[in-house]
Amino acid sequence: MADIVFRDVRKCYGDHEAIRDLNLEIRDREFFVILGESGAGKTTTLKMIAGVEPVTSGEILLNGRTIRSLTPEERDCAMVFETYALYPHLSVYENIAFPLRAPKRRMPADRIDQTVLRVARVLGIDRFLHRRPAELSGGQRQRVALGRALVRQPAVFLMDEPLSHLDARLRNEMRTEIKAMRESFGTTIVYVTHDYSEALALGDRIAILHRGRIEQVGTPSEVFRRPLNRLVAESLGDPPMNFLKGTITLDQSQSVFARGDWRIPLPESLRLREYVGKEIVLGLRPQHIRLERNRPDTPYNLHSKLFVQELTGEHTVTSVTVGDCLFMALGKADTAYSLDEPLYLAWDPEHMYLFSEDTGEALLAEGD
Amino acid sequence: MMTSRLFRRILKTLGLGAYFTFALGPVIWIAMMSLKDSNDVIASPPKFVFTPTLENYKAITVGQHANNVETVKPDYPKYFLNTLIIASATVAVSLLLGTFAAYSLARFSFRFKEDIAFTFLSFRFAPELMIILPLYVVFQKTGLIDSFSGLTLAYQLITLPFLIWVLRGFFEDIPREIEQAARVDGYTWWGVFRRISLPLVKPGIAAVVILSFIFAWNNFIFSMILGGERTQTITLGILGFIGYERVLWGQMAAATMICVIPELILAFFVQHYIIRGLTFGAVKG
Repeated sequence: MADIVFRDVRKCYGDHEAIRDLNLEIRDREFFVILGESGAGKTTTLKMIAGVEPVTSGEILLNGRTIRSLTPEERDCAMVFETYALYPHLSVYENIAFPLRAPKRRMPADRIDQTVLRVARVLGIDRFLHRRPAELSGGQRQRVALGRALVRQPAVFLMDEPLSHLDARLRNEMRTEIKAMRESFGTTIVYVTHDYSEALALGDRIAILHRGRIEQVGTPSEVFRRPLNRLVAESLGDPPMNFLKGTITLDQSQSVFARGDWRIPLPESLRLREYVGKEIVLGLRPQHIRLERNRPDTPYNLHSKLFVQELTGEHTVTSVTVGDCLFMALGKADTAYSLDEPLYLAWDPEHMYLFSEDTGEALLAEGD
Repeated sequence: MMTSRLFRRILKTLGLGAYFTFALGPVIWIAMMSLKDSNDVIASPPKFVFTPTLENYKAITVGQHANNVETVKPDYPKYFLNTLIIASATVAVSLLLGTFAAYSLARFSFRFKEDIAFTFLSFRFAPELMIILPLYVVFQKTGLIDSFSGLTLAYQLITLPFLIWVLRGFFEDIPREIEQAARVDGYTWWGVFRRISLPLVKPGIAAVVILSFIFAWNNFIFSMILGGERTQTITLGILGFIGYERVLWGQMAAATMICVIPELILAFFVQHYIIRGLTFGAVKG
């Protein structure tokens, strides 16, 4: 039971500003995902909640009370570290039991035993309980790290890339496990990842963190379908969104996206009118692009040449050159094109994104 | 091919043999000396075959009379005990102060941290003779001269800087996140230090305990100048076998052999803690 509020939080390491003016509300019992590339400040954010990294300025409130003066052991958080941070001199069993033996909890030995065994069984590490961390593989170590957090029933779970080193099958299994666990525990979870699909699959809400700054906070569908700026659009999706630079011009009082000879009509909006004559960027997601051999019967198309085709199981990623830009399209794995074959890219107008070239701000998103 | 490998092996064996002789030869010679009677000791050419006797050991421990040999009053057991007290106390004090000092230097940031660390180090490269005279004056004025506490204090100059610098390195090798994880798991700073940090530097502690003890045990100059009748140590005691009229070679050798024993015992019991890479497997990468 906990809600967490960040109020103007700044964190500096020497001259380097790791977190800038962080304002964030994480609700009680929420599964909150922080998504960002490495070095964005995700781990720092978690450590500030846990209390192992001091806040340079600003406040963090837990259940409405400032936690500045609380030591880590008083904050009642459980954390899974990205680096595992296991205790190398203790066995797997003792590693998992360690939080339960903490002086404040004083759990009786038989209950410790039960709890450790239950968690170890869920994580599939009950066969290694007597081993030392050094004798385990990366994936096994990560599960021990996860187990050490799951034995507790803390106010807040902090998870720093807890699935990054598991193989694909186990990762999916653990993903489900974490989601199910969350339903039964009803604990607030702050989950850090660089994997957008993990973020979309798990999060009630997602914050996209970039260089210490929050770019957008919203539900998975909000951030995916209506990104506030180009950075957010770029970080969600694989292959990432395609971008094409151009300008907005007026063509018989209709605003169009123009690049060279290409003209793509844009929907009428006052917002776009302000940008007439300015540089903008057109964005298209690979899964929204259709490839066609003949000129399609829609103004929403671009002419291109095939560059590379990659088969990824059920789908093909087709790379094409549009002018001097590389575009990727995601399609069914049934059509093969030949090299340099002229192709038309076509899409539905509602799947078009537009961003300001200057600020990266989104001018047009899905559904506009 | 075969011959060159054989040749290399022969060369290796010869090299090792030469080093072995160089390193252990004197020890074996002293061991032999300690078992000779007074005539055999000074025989020229040196005797390699002789009737071994334990007279020398008897003379220095219980002071038995032997034919022809003037018995030295056996102060040796007292010197032995003095040294044991001083060396043990020195290591204990160094360990208590040094562990915390090393942890602070490894983990906390404070003003003049590196200057303080360097000052500790500089005690190591100042020759003992350079500081012994001012130290003597200080000890005389404060009444610390010829006292166990005084010598233990002076010996800190030998052991403490060394211990701090070695343990600092060991503490720095512990990944910070392990300690952070333990804090999050519900332990106070002291709990983490006791249950995580300290056990992880055990190999380092074992190493510095052995070496500090040897440094303290073998020290000569501090005990000579700052010690006295009451606190005389074994190194000085051995020197006492060189008399005005004659040198008691046999007893001196026996005293030396006994002198080495505590160091050997300590090394034997502590060495199995010295395992490298104890922190391996804690964090990924």
